[in-house]
Amino acid sequence: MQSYDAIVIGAGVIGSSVAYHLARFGAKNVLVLDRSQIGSGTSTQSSGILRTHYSVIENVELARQSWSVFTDFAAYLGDEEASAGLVKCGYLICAPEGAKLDPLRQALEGQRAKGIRVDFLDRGAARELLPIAHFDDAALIGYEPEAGFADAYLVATGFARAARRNGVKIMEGVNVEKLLTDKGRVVGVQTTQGTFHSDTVISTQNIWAGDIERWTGIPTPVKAERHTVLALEGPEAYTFKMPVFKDLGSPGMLYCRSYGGKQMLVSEGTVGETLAVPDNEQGDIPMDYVAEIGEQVAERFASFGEAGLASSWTGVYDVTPDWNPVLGSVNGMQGLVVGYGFSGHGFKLSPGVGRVLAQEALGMATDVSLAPYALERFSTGQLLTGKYGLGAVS
Amino acid sequence: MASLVIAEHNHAFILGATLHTVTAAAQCAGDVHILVAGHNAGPAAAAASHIAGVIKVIHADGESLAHGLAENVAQQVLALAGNYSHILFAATPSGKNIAPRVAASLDVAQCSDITKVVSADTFERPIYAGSAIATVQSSDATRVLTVRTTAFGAAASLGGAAAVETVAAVAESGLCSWVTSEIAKSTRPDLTAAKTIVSGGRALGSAEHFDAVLTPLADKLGAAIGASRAAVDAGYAANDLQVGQTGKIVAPELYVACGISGAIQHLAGMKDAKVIVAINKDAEAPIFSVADYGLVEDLFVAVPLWVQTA
Amino acid sequence: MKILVPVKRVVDYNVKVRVLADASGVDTKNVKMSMNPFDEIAIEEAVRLKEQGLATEVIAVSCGTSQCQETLRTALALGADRAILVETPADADFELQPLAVAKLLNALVAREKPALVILGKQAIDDDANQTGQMLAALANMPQATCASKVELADGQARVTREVDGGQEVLSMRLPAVLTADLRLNEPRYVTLPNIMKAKKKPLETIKPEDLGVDVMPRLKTLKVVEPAGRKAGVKVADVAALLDKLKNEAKVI
Repeated sequence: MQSYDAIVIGAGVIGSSVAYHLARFGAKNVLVLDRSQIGSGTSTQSSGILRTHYSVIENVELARQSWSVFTDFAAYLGDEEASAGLVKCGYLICAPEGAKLDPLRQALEGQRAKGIRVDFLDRGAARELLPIAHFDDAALIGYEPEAGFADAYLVATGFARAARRNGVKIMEGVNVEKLLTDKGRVVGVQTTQGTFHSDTVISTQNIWAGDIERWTGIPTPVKAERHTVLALEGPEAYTFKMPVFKDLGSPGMLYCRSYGGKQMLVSEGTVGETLAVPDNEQGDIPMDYVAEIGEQVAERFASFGEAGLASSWTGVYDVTPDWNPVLGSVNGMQGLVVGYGFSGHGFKLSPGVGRVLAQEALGMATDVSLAPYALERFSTGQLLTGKYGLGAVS
Repeated sequence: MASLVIAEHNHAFILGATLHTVTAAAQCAGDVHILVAGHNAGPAAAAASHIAGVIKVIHADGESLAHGLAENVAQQVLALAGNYSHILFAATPSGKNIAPRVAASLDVAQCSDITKVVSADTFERPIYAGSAIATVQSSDATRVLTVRTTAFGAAASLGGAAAVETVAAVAESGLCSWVTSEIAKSTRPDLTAAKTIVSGGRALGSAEHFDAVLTPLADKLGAAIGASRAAVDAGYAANDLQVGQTGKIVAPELYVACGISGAIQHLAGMKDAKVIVAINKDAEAPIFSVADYGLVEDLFVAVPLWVQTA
Repeated sequence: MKILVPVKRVVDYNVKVRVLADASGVDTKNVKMSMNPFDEIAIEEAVRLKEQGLATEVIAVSCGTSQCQETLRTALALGADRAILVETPADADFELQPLAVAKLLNALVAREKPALVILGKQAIDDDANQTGQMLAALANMPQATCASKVELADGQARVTREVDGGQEVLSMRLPAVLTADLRLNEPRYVTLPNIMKAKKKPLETIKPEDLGVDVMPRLKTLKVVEPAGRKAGVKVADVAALLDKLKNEAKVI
């Protein structure tokens, strides 16, 4: 009989962070199960943006704690070979006159109140940081230097390797078929490679979190939404020194960053294409859509009006009704802890989320209160809705 | 029912690919004949007559056949085609160049790169770069095939005693002429066509190290050089060396991954290599799950040692 | 001087194809489709020849369902002047095979009379590597497959092509058929302005019947399965052990 102190379902960036932290907090016998390979689900499709800017204040603290891990990943893991692939180029966000202006100001002030350095820039200063863009329409420009982007796959495998070094067992290519329960308590999982017992199961299954509802009847309000990302090659370079940029003035609330060389990675920060069935395979990208995004990019980055389409791909988000995750223990199923619904901003929270879910699973006090993230909020109406409208800057 | 194998040769010798094609031909139809179409190719025709399992060699000799021009060789095959149920070429650059001309002229379909003969009219072949295997059935009276030589054993090159029949060479088509050849390239093979690839990852640490460590091994093996996405992003190697999902898809005989962790995106680009070797000092690196031979060692020690070893 | 460039809509090379459970084929229903990568190289070569003043018009043609229009639009955005779609039925049981495509192209060659037809050397879905050569035979044209360099002068083409162990140079009179290999060129990126301009370029749709061609397939696919998986590997102790395995067991060095 294979019995474990805790079983984690899903070895993406969240699951591998949970597994690492379980071991770090002293759990001796941890098992992680993944249907495919570590990080090969949606983590590998992440654009990798890291920032602490959120209009939902609860996320700011999780993001801030996570940032401190990203900036010293190797030391945090005690593994000098580990790398998060971090580019610390800062995060620039602007809004024109209109509906997004006040929410932006409030969010920036909220960050400041939490001791995070945020600068309010004038157009000239913004242009110095990002000379390929114009800010003629900007009514407010915020900049946080402690931000940038990193590599989600490297981070997931980094956490996984460190977890293994601390005794965690990770099995790949294993499909969990059923959650085994006994009178409202978790007792283990049944999988394609046998049955494993534990009274603690942590599900970090992203777009496949709907399994929880199938297994327990407990609602899992998450759906798979596919988003398109473009790499545009400009006549001018978007260098690693230039900040990640969030354009609240564009119709699609675009975010963009350097993709290396003269290339810009850009994507819309609004609602995507809902998939009937969870699936992270590449989707079609119509030329008309490319032209549409291209127009939005050209509005802000004049020279990119002539940009070439270097490559394009799709990534899938696990989206909840308020674009924020469900975290913590599950009422009605003792021993089940969940972390799903990151809605496109999970990577930047992965170290912090891994910590709190591990703490919750081990019965420890959590660094950040999980109450706001409870599933019940969808019935009580205490949604964590972002102030910019639906989208991943929530 | 008889099969005709179009020999791969250099006028003096029969090339190995022909031996594998003969094996496939024997599985298609009992009697196997070989066509040696060349110029002053008597020695090749004689060698063909010794191949075990071949009962007849047809030797066409003339200047029009001196350089294997598709327009002329195809005509030569067509002059004989009516006698055969199966016409087979090795799936080499030459075979692939000529076979479709024959098929189209006969108004029949061609089955490319067969890996198995299921029956006289049914064959297996890889599709989607080998991600799937299709079994196809031909409804034509003549089957034109190109044969993936690595999928069939080689017929013995000695033991046969076939008669050699000489036929007239076809006239020059006048469509095309050979100007020159440059064989035995001194430059590095193209990444996507190379038989051997030596590939480096982020662990190489710098562009200088990338070149200094991998070039000697690539030279020793006559290999192309590839790189992981991480190495390219870090600036250690040029974009066009990238092997992987957003780079090049390769399927060499031997792929040596040095300091490559084995991210999914990279594996997607090289998982169809015949033999994969991984050298990485991290025993946990995912690359070891696909490697046929894994060496857990510092590449800065292992690679130079390999180069030095005779 | 016209150049005809056939382009094929195929499953995007990034997609990990899935074999259908009933072994009838590969799942192409919801997967990403793109222009065959070798065909992009063919279009690029044709456009460059036009930019050099050696050709006057580049015509892209695709044979398949109406969805091929998106592929033709890409060709137009890359610089082709007009496009032709030979529309075939969107029927799961119908497969357009190289011999049929070659016949369709032969009919178009008779109509358009191009001096050059440039194709990709093979499509990454069926990996057949036949269409260009078949067309050349039907149209009684010279061919140069796996071309890595093309030079035009005085109604002749001088083509360098990849052969086993090296390259050879052929000289042929026009009209001729070339198939493009990777080394021929590096295609440009489609630019945003050209995506918009492509919408205004002419795209003509015709049917195989209009060209008098029978497109019924000759090969019947009986089943499609996954290949056998990779065998588990072994760890070797040191370089010496590795070289021994590679030489004596795997026989690759």
